[in-house]
Amino acid sequence: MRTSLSQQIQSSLIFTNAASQKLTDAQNHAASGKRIMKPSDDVPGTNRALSLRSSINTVNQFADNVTVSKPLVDATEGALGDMAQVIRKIRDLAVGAAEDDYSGSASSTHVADLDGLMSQLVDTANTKFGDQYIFSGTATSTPPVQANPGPIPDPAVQPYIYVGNNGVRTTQVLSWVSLPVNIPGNRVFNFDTGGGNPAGAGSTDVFTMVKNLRDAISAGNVTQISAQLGNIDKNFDNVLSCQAQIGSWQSRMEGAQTTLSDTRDRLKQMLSDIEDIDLPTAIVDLKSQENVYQTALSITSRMLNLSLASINQ
Amino acid sequence: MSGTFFGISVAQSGLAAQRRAMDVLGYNIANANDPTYKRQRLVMVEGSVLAQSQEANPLGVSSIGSGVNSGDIERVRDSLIENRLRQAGTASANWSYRQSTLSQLEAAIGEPSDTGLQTDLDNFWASWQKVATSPDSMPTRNGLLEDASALCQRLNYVSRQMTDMTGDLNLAAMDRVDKINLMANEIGHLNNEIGALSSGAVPANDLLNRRDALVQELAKEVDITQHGDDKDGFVISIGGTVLVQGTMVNQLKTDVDSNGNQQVFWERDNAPVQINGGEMKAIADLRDHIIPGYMNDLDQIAQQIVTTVNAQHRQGVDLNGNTGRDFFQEFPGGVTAANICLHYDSNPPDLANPAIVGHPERVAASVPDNPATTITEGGKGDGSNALIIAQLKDAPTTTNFTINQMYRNLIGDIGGAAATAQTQAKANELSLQQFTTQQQAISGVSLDEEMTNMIKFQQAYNAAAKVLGVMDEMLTILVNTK
Repeated sequence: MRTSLSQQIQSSLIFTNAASQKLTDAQNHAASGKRIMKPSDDVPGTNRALSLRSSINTVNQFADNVTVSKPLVDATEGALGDMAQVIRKIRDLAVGAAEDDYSGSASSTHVADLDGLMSQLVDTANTKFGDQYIFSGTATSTPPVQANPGPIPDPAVQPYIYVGNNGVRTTQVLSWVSLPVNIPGNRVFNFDTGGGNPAGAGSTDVFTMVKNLRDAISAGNVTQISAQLGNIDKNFDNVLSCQAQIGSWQSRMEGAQTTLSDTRDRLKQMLSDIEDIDLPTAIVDLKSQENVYQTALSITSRMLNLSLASINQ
Repeated sequence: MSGTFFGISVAQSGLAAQRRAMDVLGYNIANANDPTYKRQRLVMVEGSVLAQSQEANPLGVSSIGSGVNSGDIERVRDSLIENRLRQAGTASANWSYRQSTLSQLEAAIGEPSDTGLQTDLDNFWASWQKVATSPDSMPTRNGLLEDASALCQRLNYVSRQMTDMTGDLNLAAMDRVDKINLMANEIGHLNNEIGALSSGAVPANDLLNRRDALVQELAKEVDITQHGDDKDGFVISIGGTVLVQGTMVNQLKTDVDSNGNQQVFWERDNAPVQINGGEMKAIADLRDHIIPGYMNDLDQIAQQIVTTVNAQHRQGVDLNGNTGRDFFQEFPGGVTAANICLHYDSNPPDLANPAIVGHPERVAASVPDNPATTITEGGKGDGSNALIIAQLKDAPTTTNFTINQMYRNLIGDIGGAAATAQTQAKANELSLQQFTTQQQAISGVSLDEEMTNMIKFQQAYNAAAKVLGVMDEMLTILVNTK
């Protein structure tokens, strides 16, 4: 085929341009560390990368949810432990009182002890975590247990009332798991808010329970004191069962934490496999493109110097 | 018997022809670097046998001619390849224009990255999760409003980028029409001059080269067909309608259509121009179909976000115990990616549906009190409604896709179109280069060839001069004969 000067120049330009373009691409990929820099680099890959990125963000948010909710659950678990301890003390006191001979001073000591335990119970019931009352259900700004202002129910019968609500707050910890993070106080303190006492028929709320015991001790009525033990046991079991429930949520949250961090690592690995370059390959590619470019340049400069016109006569 | 000085005149015609060939050769070398130049060649033909020498050969014995005639200077070219080159130019310009516009769009969208719209969407849903977990925290509620507003602004931004692109394409269309008109006029003028020159004996090679270059340039803008020969009957048409015929030029103009886009019409009869290729086709397709399609998809995403979130938000209760209020602003003309924003106060303010902007307490994170419960206090710590909204992320919308999927589909569409345009642009560029190379192989100046020819013409000139000298000596002998 005949060749002409402009054809030679044109071909040289095509080759050097192509080589320089490839070199720039290789440089961009190696420098950014990304295989996909724009959607058209790999359309299905971009789709997967977007989806994985979104999944990672979701997993991060779930992990965040656990981080925020777990201390609340831990605090609730602690408060329930305290409460169980107080009720145990009340029971010991009741058992001791039932065996007393009631010579006068003993009964007033018991009453004073009971008053102390009662205020401990109320304090525990109104435990705050941050700004939130943990046993108010979802009415977190209201102290759940307040002195009964009367007239209904009669303050002489029921010293404290529950003013929280039934609300259960949930948090999503995995895409298929939402866990409650609170136990409403009426369930814990055994208030009848419609549907009977949670601890079972014949039981009263813990505060009425303490008041009844106090009344019995003040009256020095041993039979009546012993009669309170059933109610105390029911309330004790009720608090323990609440504690067990919270414990199971705690362990599920811990499980979720592990699952989430595993999932996140796996997703990040997958994203990296799709989005990131394989560095050794990229560097080898860059080197070879550099060589190609250099070759193209040197061939061009040699070829364009060759002509009959440039040979000395 | 030929005349006494016949030989001298033959030799002289040789000298003249070789010198003229050297002139053409010099001209070729001078233009060697002009890519539109087509090399020229002096056509040398034998001089005709003159009457006087025929007389001298009554028996019809063949006789030598009267020397060499150096006639036309012709351009060396192959019109078939030039035709192909023109078509390749049209296709290549079309695809490379698409490719560059779609690359701009990809850059505007900036995916996949940690800073794209996908991240804004993720942050928005995550904020609802945060509110669901800490519904009574004002900073968390404020964070939600911030993230929602960032999402809206991002959608506004991407939408504006696309609108701006359409605007740029309209400017480009007007610009191209001006350019086509200018080139058509110049071709008309050239046809006039070529006609005038060709009627004389002077070949209009330079003008023809210039016209070829213009036609090649024109072919990049729009698909043209060229009929007729190189002179008077020269016709260029677009979509079957004549743009240039000889010196007559049919101008183009632009006019705004119902979408505010500049469409191309014939000046003469206002008929729309049938454009099927070149940059004009790329501009029209991108502006009228491709980009509006993406904008429509983006609007759908904005609509689905607003519809689904608002519907659920109205079910919820805010910190003040109010319900039935909007989170995003709804517009009578419909929500688009360009107008999506948080719910603001209407004028006069609608007391039953006040602005959420600046009022994080109005985020309806809670569900209404259960009427079965005897306890009445509003559940500020309840984030159930926020959780339901957060879970809308994975809920299919009326389009059967989740909002995330809709967005991924859009990115996939843009990426796919850009990838196709890239491949096509590359392939067409390659074929354009091949035809250019072929055309240059035929019409380009080869310095080696010119150098060789230079020696050839030089030697022939030397030889003719030698013949002249010897003739002169022979005549001297004749004149000095006593």
